[in-house]
Amino acid sequence: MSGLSLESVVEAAPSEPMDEALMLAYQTGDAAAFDTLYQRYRSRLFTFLVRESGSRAQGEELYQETWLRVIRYRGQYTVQARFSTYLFKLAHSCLMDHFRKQGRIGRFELGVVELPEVFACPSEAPEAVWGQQRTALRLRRCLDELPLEQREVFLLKEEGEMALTEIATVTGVAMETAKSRLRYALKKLRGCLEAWQ
Amino acid sequence: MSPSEHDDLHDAELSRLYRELPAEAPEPAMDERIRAEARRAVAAGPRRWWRPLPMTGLATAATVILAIGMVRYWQAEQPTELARAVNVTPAAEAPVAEVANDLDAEVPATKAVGTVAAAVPPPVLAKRSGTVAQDKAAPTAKPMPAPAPLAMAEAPQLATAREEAAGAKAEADAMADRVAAGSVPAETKVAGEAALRKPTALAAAPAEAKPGLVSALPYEELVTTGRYVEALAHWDPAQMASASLQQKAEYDLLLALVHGPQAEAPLCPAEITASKEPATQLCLILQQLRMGQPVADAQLETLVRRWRRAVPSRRYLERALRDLVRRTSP
Repeated sequence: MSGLSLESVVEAAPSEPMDEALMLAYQTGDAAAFDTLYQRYRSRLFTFLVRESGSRAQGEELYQETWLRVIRYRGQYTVQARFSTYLFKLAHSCLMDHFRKQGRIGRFELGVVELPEVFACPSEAPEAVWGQQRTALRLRRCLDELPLEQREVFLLKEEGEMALTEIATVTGVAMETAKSRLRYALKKLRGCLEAWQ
Repeated sequence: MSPSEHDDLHDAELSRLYRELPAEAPEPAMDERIRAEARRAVAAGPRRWWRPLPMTGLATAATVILAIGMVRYWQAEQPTELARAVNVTPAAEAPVAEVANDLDAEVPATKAVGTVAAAVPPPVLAKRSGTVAQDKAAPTAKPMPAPAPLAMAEAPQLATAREEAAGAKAEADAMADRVAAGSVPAETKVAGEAALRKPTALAAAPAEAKPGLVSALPYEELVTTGRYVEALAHWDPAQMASASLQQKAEYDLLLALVHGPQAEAPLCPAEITASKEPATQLCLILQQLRMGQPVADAQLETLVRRWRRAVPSRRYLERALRDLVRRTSP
């Protein structure tokens, strides 16, 4: 991953400052830069954490802890990747701590090697016709049924708008592992949705 | 991620469905808390992981606590050592009585003069006077404690001697146990007890050719400087039976200096005849003092002159004798 210089970040900004420039500004004491940055990632980060943790209450706790880490470690921030990668990596770290406290980290890690080929969807009988919105809501339920690490990869791709290399960086795994997780996630989601149709 | 590269890693339909999901959003109060924290952190300046003043205060408090602890430790330790030295003394006297019984046969002359003895001899003398049968002294013996000024002046030496006595007791007990168990011959016990009566440092020092006096090198200095307890420690009571009259007289003089002339059964013969020989003169003076008779200045000067002429090597006893006469003359 190639590093980004402050000059390149500032010069590349067309109309609004880039995330990395805002973070660097906040690092030097510009509180307004943080507000802008916060507003940009407020919903995306919160959605990611609520869906990944499976609970709004836990998502709120993780969301606050993630931003507090951004504030606390602002002095150590350097532009080495997109700010979103940095932010979601902090969120991933908070998630891991949270799962470790809950004793879910073992199941989380074992899921990497013990992936069931056929994903079992909820056994409720599907109705004949589903609207688009109801299908989306069903997708939400299917997401909840995914193993944590597969769900995280999918959420980082869709919510964080990340490439595989960034997903691998955030989750701390090899790119092939991230790719495999995403492949399994998509396959299981498709199977889950088809089972409802 | 390019769809052409990862066809199986991109599903447009799933992405579309996902984007139709209602977005989650934190509560406004949460937003405000986080933003306020961000502003507060910037206003407070760069975060430092250490705080100089609290650390300095903590270090000061730790130093004070450590100093107080060390002072209390030393205050608690020193009395304990002293108490140990004093407490073992009575027990240390027990084997000395056994030694005295064993050595009674070796020193028959002491029985003849055993009419006066100390009721409560100081520990250092109890150890050193094992050769005289003080425990068998006549019941009419008049108790005579050690002279108070001397005891005050030589308290450190007494404490040292008490510690030596405690060590000797432990070793003697161990030896007795070994004899009782049959692992050590009985002769070894007597020899061992005799050896125990020597201070360890003196046992290693080169002994003088004359019996009784373990080492004469620092002895003269001790006697001439008035350190009689330490000088007495240079004598080996186990060898006094074969000592010369001069040495016996010297030993008696030191005993009288430490515990008073009536404190110990003397080694000087009771039936001593008048003679110009300095040892005989000294024995006579000691006997006079023991019986409470005054010593004339002329008598004292005669002895001193004899020492100076006949045995100049014993001139160092002059001060000791004058001290004794000064203390005990009525």
